[in-house]
Amino acid sequence: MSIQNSSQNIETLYNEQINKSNDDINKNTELVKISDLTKKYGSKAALSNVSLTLEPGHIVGLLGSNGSGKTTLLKILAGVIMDYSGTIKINGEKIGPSTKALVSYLPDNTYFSPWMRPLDMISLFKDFYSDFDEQKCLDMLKRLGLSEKKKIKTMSKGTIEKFQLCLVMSRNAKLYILDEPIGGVDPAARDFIMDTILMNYTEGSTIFISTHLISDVERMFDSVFFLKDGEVVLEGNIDDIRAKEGKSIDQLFREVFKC
Amino acid sequence: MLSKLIKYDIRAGWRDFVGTYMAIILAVLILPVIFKYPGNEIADAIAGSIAIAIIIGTIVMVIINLFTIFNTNVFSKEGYLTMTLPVKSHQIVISKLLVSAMWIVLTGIVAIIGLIIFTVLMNGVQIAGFTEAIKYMMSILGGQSILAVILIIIALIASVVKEIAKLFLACSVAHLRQLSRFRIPVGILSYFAFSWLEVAILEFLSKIIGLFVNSDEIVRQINLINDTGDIQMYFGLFSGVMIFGILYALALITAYSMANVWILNHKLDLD
Repeated sequence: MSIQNSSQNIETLYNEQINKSNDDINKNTELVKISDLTKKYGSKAALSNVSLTLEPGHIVGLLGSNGSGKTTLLKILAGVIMDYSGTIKINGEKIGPSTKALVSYLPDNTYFSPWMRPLDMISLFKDFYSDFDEQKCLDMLKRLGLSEKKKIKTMSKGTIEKFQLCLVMSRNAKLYILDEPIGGVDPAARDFIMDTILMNYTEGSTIFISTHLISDVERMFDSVFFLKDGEVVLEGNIDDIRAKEGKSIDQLFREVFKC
Repeated sequence: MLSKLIKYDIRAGWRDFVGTYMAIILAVLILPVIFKYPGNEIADAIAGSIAIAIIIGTIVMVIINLFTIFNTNVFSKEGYLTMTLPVKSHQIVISKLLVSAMWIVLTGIVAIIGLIIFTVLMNGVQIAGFTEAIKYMMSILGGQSILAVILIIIALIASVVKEIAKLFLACSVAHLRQLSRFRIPVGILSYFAFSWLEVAILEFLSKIIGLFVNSDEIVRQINLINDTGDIQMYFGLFSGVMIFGILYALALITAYSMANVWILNHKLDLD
């Protein structure tokens, strides 16, 4: 082998090592990587070539008006929609049992069976999720004034939603996906929900919250994505956006989504 | 994880099923009290018909209930819990099939017990009479009677579980987003389409088997059995047919379940 060929081989090997290191670094900083995600319902695109990245240890807002595609995006991440095109990786893995073990998902509706009591749900979460903190959940129940033995169907709608949030936030998950956690609740309940989220999420985890009630939650976010008609129209660090646009996120939202 | 899924699937359904079983036992206890008119054959016939109708109705209700549980647990709001658990789709399908099989077997046992209780109360037949009847049937069937009974029971269970697996797949097909506007007719048509396919495959397999087996010889054997009246000669043929039926049912259960898992892994789209 000539000296020139040897040099080229060494250079090739060096570049491969650099690329591998960069990939490892990117993998470590990318908790969620979505590339060219498209979801259609008939001829209508609920999501159109959405690409975004979520890093660990951030509270991220997914903002958009009704019908913008927020719930669809979160459902895909949670694994309850599997019919889509594009690639999604959570912690470097495709959506499946391994990602579901890392993701704590709060849907925009409640999912309890009529026969269930809080104790049954706590037992179920304890059985299936190794990161579930039973004592944390019981403490939150106590603060809510709920009995773990009373049937869930006897509770009010607002109480059921709060209990569901307690279950979700009692997991030490890598990614919390909360779909409209404060939609349809009174202001006092909203404060409870926001405090529960902030006080109970695991440091180093990421919370991905969808909402259209910006003013109540703006203070929480590190970064935001604006979703309009299934496309990301704005994204970035919240302070940078405020500085650049010279207005609050709520005001910017009203401009972007003006009817 | 599979054992945990089975545990919660049983927990989800036991109230409904145990309630149904208690209703059957209560009905067969009450009917003879209402219809007991010694010597009145019409009353006996009415009571007997009602008892059979209750038991058949219960079996149908149980099957509908199993379908409803699958539909609710996977495709309704409960699906947001089921389909976000860190388990594989095939584990969810297997769990529901195994638990369904369990409820079907229990329903069968309760139905038999109900019929026995009804017969004892209605006609004054002693329990000993049943055991004598069973012993007599076993003596006719001969030494292979236990194997025959086991094969019949396994074939029955496999057949019913196959129907349940088919129902589950029809449910999943009906929930495909592309067909959501016609959910109920699609579900019904899918079920019948799969049934037609089963028969078509069986006919095809029969033709293939016919290429290797001399059908004239089989007809000759059957005629010989009929002529001699030797029931024990049936067993070779009988066992072969039963085992083939069981294997065919198991193959179909596997095929339906795999198709179901594929839909859940690639086409799931919860509302």
